Amino acid sequence: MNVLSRQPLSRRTALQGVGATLSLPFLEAMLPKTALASTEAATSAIPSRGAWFYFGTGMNMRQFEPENEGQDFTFPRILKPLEKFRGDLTVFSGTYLEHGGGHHGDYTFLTGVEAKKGGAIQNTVSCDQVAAEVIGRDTRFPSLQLCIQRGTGFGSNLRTLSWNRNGVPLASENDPHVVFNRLFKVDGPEEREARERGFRRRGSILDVVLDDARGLEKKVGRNDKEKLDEYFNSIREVEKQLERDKDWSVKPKPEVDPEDAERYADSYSIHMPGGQFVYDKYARLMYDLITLAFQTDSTRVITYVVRQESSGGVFPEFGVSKGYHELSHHGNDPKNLEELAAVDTIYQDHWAYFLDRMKSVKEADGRSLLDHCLLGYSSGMGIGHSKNRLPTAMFGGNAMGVEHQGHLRLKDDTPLSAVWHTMLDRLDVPVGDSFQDSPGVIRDLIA
Amino acid sequence: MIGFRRSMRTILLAPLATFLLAFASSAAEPLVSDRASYESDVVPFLEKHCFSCHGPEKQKGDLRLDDLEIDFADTSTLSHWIEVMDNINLGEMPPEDEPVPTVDEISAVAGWIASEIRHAEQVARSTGGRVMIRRLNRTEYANTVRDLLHLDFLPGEGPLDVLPPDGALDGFDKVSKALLLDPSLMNQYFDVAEIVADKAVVTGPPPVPTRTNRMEYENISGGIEYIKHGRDTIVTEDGLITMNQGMRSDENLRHPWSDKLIPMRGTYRLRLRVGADPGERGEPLYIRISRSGDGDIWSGKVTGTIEEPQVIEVTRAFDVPGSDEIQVRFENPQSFSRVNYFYTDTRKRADDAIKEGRGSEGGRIRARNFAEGMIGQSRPEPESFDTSGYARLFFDWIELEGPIYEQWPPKSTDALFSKVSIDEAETLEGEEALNRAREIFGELLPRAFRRPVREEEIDRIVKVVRAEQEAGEPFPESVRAGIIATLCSPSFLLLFESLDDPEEDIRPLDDYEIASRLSYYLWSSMPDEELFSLAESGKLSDPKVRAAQVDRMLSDPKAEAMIDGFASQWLKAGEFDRFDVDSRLYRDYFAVENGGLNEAVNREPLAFFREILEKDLSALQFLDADWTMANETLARWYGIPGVSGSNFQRVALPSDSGRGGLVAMAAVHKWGSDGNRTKPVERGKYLLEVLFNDPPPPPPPNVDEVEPNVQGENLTVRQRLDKHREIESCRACHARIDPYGLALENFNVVGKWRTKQDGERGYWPDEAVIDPSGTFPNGRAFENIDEFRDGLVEQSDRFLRGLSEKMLTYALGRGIEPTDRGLVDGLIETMKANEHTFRSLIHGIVESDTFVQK
Repeated sequence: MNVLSRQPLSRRTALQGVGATLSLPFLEAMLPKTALASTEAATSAIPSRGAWFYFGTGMNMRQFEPENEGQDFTFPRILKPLEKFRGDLTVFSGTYLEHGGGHHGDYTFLTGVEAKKGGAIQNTVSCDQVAAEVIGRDTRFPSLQLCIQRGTGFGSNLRTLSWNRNGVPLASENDPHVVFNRLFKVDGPEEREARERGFRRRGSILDVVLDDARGLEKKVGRNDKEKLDEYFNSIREVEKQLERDKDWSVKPKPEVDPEDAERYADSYSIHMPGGQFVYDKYARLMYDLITLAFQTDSTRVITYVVRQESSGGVFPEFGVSKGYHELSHHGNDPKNLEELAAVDTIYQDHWAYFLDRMKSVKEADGRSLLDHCLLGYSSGMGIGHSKNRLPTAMFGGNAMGVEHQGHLRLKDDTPLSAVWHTMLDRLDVPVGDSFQDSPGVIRDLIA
Repeated sequence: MIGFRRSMRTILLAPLATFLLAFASSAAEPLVSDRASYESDVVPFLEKHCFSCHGPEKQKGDLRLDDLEIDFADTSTLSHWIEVMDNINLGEMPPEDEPVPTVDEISAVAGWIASEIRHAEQVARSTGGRVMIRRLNRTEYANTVRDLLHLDFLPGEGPLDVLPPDGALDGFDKVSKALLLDPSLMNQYFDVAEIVADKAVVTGPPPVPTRTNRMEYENISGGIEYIKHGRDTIVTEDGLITMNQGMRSDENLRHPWSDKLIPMRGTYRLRLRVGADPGERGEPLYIRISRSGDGDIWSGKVTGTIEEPQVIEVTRAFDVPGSDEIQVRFENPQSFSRVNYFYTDTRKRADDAIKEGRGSEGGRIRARNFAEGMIGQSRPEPESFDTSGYARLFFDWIELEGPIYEQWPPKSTDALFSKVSIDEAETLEGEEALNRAREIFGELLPRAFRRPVREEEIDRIVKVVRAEQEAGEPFPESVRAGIIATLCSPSFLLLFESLDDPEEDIRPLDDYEIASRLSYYLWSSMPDEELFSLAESGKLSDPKVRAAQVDRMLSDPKAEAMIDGFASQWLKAGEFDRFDVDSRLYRDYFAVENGGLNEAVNREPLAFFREILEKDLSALQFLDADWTMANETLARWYGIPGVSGSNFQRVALPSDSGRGGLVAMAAVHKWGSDGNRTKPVERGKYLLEVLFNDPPPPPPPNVDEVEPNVQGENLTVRQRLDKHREIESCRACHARIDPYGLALENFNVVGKWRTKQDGERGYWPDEAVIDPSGTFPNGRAFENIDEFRDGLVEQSDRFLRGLSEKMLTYALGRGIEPTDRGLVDGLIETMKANEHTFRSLIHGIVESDTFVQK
C-alpha cells in the first residue's frame, strides 16, 4: 500500500483551475517532499498525530505485566509480539482509573470523571477532542471515531471514546468500507455535480431549520433548553463542517493505490451473516485504514474502540473455543485463562502488524510515520473488574520529543490521565498543569 | 469511658446538624429517603463496629466515619459510603479480631446504603416530574417517515439502517436523557433525509418490468439434466421425485431484462410447490431454499404430501449480487452410499509402502484395489438396493416473480403530487411551481410537525424550493429539497412541548400534543387522521375520548410497536443471545430437526406478551401460567406433543412439565447462563429486575465468578455457590438474589429440564443432583419450581408495581420520580380491578393527568 500523493496543495492554486487540477493525476511540484528542499523545513511541516485505543474488559494481567523494569525489560507473553518495537514503546505499570473497574470504565476512560452513576450519565469533554480542537483544525476531518460496532452505545457498553464539550458522545463508524470512501473515494463528474448541488441545498436548508429552531427557542422550558441547545450546537457544527467541506471540495482527496481501493470496495463488518466475518481480516483493514488516514493527513486525531466492554470477537481461526466475553468470565479456570491470554496475544499480534505499517511509512524527514505519531492504549479495567493494574502502553512519537522507557513502573494508583496528559503535552496541545485528575506530565518520557 | 461519651455525642449531634442544615437549604429534596433506618440501624452499627478505628481518636486508612455526612449527592461523601458498604459486604471490615456483626445487621446497613445511593441517583436524574422534549428515536423516525410519506424501505436501505442505534436509560430508548443529539447524528439526519426524499419523489417509468419466471422440474434440461438420470431420482409427468439430492434451477429463472436472476434490487416473490413422503423411516423431511451469496431464503419442514403438495411462498428483498440460481437442499435424506473403510485402509497401506521405499508392494496393492473395482472411498449403501421404503420429496415447479412494485408511480409520489401528475410536475416553473409547492407543503407540514403550522413556516420551506428552482433544478428535485428541509427541522425531529415561560408551572397539554403522546406511546409513530381530527375538534383532553382511542389504536397493526418497543426492552429480548451456546456441550440444540430453535426460543416471551395483550389476559400470567406460546420446534424441545407447524400458537402445558410463566422460558435460562453453565445469580438478578423492577445492587469490586471444580471434585454450581454464601457478609446480599436463580436450576443452559447437573463438561456422576429448593427473603420456603411459582404469585403486588413503573417510564420517556408514587399506586389498583390486563394499565396511564401534562 503506497500513497501516490499527499495533501498540501495550496488552496489558491487549486482554485485557479478547479477542473483541470482535479482531473490531472497530480502536480508533482506541489508535493512537499519535492517542493521543500531543506530537511528542517520538511520536519516543521510534518504534523504530529495522536490516537487512543480501548481494549474492553481488561486483559489477563498475569501475563501482561513485565517483571523487570527499564529499556531491557523482558516481554511477557501477551506483549511478546511487540518485542521488535523496543525503543518505540513504554509499558506502564501502576495506572489506575478512579471511576473505572467493572463494566463502565469505558465512560471515564478519556474524560476522567465519574460519568456513569447507576442510570444517570453526565460526562465531559474527552482528551482526544481537546486535542482535535487544537491539532484537528487543518485536516479534512478534525477527528475520526472508530469501533467494532456503529453508534455511541450510550447507556450501555460504549461504542465511542469521544465526547464533545457538551458531554455528548460522538458516534463511531465500524465499516472500513464506509470510512475509506469518506476519506478517499474520488467523485466522478456526476457525483461532483451532485456535491455542488448538495452544498447549495444544504446551505439554504440550514438557514431554514435554524429559523424553525429560533422560533421554538422562545417557548422552551428550563430543563428543555439543554435539549434544544444540543440541536443548535449540532447544526452549528454541521455548518462548520459544510464550510470545511466546501473548502476541501476544491482540493483533491488523497490518491491511494487502486489495490487498496479494491480491498475496501465492499462492506465488511461484524454484522455480516454467520461465518463471513473473520476478525483477523477486519483488524488488518482497520489498522491499515488508520495508517492511511494519518499518512495522507486526512486527520490527526483518532479514537478506536478495538474491543468493546463486555464483548469481543470469536476466534475460531486461532483455535480459541469460545467467544471473548465467555472467556472473560474465566472463573479462574486454567483453560479459560490460557485462552484469554491467547486472545489478548492475538490482539497484540494485530497491534504489531499496525506498528509495522506505521513504521514502514516514511515521512519527509526520513523518519517513520510512527515517529510522528503517538498511540496510547489501555482498558477500563485491569483483571477481575479491578480499577488498577490497567493494561496501559504508549507507542511512537520519537520525533515528537518522546523518550521511551521500555517498562516504566509508576507510583501505585497513578491516574491513567497522567499518560493522556503526557500525550497531549507532546502533541503541543496546551492544557496547562491541571488536566483531569492527572498529577502532571510523566517527566521520564520527555526527551 | 470518657472517650466513649465523647463519641456518643458526636454521633448524635453531627448527623443531626447535617440533617437540619440540609433541610434549611433545600426543603424540597430530603437528602436521605430513609432517615428512620439510619438512626435505628446504621448509627448504632457504626458506633459499635467502626468508630474505634475510624473515629475522632484514630483514622485508620485516613478514613473517619463519625463525621461522615449523609449527603449522598456529594461525590466524595458518596465514595466513602460506598467504601463502607463494599468493605462490610466483602467481610473485610470489621477486622478479624473485632466482634463480628450478624448477617441481619450487615444486611440492614449495606441495604440502607445501597438504597440511599439509588435514591441519590434518582434525584440526579430527576426532571422534576416534567416530561422533557426529546428527539425521535431511530424506530420512531423510521415509522414516522413511513406513515408521513407512505414509504416502505427494503431491508438495508431505510432509516433503520442509516441511523445509528440509540442510547437507553431506565431500560428504554424513549428516555429523553438518553436521546442525545450530536453533530455526527445531525449529519446523518441530513443523509437519511436525502435518501427518504429520493425515494418519496420518483419520476419516470419503472426501471425494470415485473415478470414471473416459472420452471417445471420435469422439463429441466442442459446443465442440470443429470439430476433426472440419478438412481435417486424418479421423473413423473408432473415433476421430479428425489430420495437423495436437492434441486437446482440452473439458468431457468433468469429475468430477460439483464439475463440475471435478480435484475435490480427490489422485492421478489418466490414460490415452490413441493411435497414429502417420509417413507418407512417416518421422520418429517426438511428442506432449505437458498441462493448462494445471498443466504437462506427459507428452511423448515415440508408439510405437503406427494399427492397434495404445498406451495411455499416467500416475499422478500433480493439484491443483485449473488448466484443466478435457486437451490433447494434436502436436509435429511437417507443415504445411498457409505464409506468404504476397506478401501481407505488398503489405500493407506499402499501409500505407506511407497513412502517407505517399497514401491512395488505399494503398486501391487493399488492395482488389486483397482482390479476389484474399488476406485473411490464410497460404496453403495446396501439398504438402497430397494428404495421403495425410502423417504422422498416431490418437486413440481418453482417460480420467481418480480421486481414487485405496489404501484407506479409509487404511492408516496402520488400522494405528494395529488393535484398534478408527476409527469406534468417535471415541467412546472416560476410562480405556478411555487404555488404548487405551497400546496404540497401546506398539506405535508402540519402532519410532519404534528400540529397546525403558521403561514410563515410554509413560506420557509417554499423558500428552499424557490432557491432550487432559481438554480435551475426541475420541480420534482426542488420538492425533494423541501422534504429534506422538513425532515431536518427541529419541529419534525423533536417531540416538542412548549412553555411560554421557562418557570411556568405544570400545564395541561394541548390536543395536538396529546395526540403525539398517544401515538408515540402506542405506535412509536406519528398520529393518524383520526387522532388529528380529534385534536382539531379539541376532544382529546377528554379522558373518555382517549380511552376509546386506546382501544382503537391497540387493535391497529401499528400497535406491533408495543411488542418491538416496550415488551422487547422490558424483557431484555435484545440480550437473549448475549452468550453463544456451546455447540459441543449442547449438541441437541443445533440438530437438523431443531433448525430455527434459537429464534423460536427468543420469540417465546414476546409472543407470550402479545397473546396476553391481544386477548386481554392477566399480566400475572407472567408469574404463572398453564399455557405458553410455541411452534412445533419449541414445543418438541419442551417435550410437549401434538403441536405442528412453524406458526406460534397457544400451547397447553401439562401440569407436571415444570413449565409456566416467564421463569420457565428457555430464553430466560439462556440469558442467565454463559453458554456453558447456568448462572443462578444472574438469573436471580434478571427476575428481580424484570418482574419487580427491583435490581439488586452491584457486587462489591473484585468479586470473582463461581469457580470451576478443581480436579476430582464434582460439585454442582449450587454447591460451589453455597461455599461463597458461607461467608457471612456475602450472605446478606445473596439471600435476596440467589433463591430466585437457584429455583431455576432444573432448567439447563438451553432451557431443557434436568434433574442432574450438566454443562461445563460431558460427564457428571449420579450424585450431582439438582436441588432447586430455597427460601424467599420473606421466609416462605419452596421445594421445587411449582412451589417457587406460588411464591411469585404471592408477590403479585410487587410485580404489578414494577410493571407499572416500567410502563410509565416507557409512556412518558422519563424515569420514575417520587412524585409518581400516587399515580403508580392508582395504576396497581386499576389493574387489580380489571383482571390485571395490560389494557387496563395502558388505559390507566393514558387517562391520568400526568399523561396530559407538560
